[in-house]
Amino acid sequence: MKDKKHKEDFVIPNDYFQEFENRLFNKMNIELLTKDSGFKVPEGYFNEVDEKIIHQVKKPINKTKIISIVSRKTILYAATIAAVVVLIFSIVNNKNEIPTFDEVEFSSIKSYIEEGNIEIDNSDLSLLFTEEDLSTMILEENYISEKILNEYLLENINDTSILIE
Amino acid sequence: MIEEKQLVSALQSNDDNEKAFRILVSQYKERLYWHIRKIVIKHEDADDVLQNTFIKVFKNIHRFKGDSKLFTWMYRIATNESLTFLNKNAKRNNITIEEVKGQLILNLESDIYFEGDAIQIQLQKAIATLPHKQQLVFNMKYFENHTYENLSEILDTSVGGLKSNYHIAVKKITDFIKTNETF
Repeated sequence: MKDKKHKEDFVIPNDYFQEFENRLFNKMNIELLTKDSGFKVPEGYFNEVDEKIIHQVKKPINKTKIISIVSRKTILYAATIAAVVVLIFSIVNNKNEIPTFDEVEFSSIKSYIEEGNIEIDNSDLSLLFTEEDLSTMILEENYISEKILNEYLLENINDTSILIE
Repeated sequence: MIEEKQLVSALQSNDDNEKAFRILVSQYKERLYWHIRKIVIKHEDADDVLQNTFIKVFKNIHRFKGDSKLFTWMYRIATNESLTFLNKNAKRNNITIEEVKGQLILNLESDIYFEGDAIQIQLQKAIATLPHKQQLVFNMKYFENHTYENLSEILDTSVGGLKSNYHIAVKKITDFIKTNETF
């Protein structure tokens, strides 16, 4: 009888009670869940982390340097690996075609020798020149200027008596 | 607890700021750690990000003008550092930040520093489905009990906006848990 009276006096939204239940249980579900997230830390972590942080703060500059060297190294390694891959690829692709001496860049040969990849001494070198080549080189007055020659000798020859001569 | 103003001026003075910094670390490490941990999920990563956060705080303390509370300023740095960390991780693996988070949550069960039960795992999975801003708001309100006023300062969002963010997050999480109920 009471219910009937209420129904007559007040109006409620359609399906209010059904929605109320839903809303209540929704709210309860989330509120009933524990507020403990489940995440844990190793034992004693918060006692030790202070020192770790202080240590890091004291050496921030060194740390940055180390990072930059490491990253350069990484780039260097990556570049080397890439170069090797390209080299292997080109060798595999060209295995039937041996390049002629004329096809090889002069600078490549130069750097190949300079890097110490080939053992070559002065007598071997002299064999590559004919008598005529050598005399032309010496006679060619502008080939090496006096100044450059002096500088070269000063830098590379220990015995300076030759310069006095 | 030492007064914030005193602490800031001690930190900003060039002599003996190490002592002040030690106080700062001991006062805020736990709160910042848990904030970071809920974003990056793994303990080892949270440890790294926490250290980076304090290094940034130390290096930039001279730029702190006191417009906001020191605590909220540090929270902002911690949030940025955590998001940068996740972004780097995503870029390295060529996936989105949401995918990174999803993978981290999948690995929770085998994580030795996670002791949550099925409900807690479901809750973390549900949080991971939210847009990033809602994740932040939900974690900080639900687990860390921040006031809306504090959150407003840290996240630079109006209280009204935050309230609606939180309620939407709660609704989505509840729906997710209901439809994926495994416990």
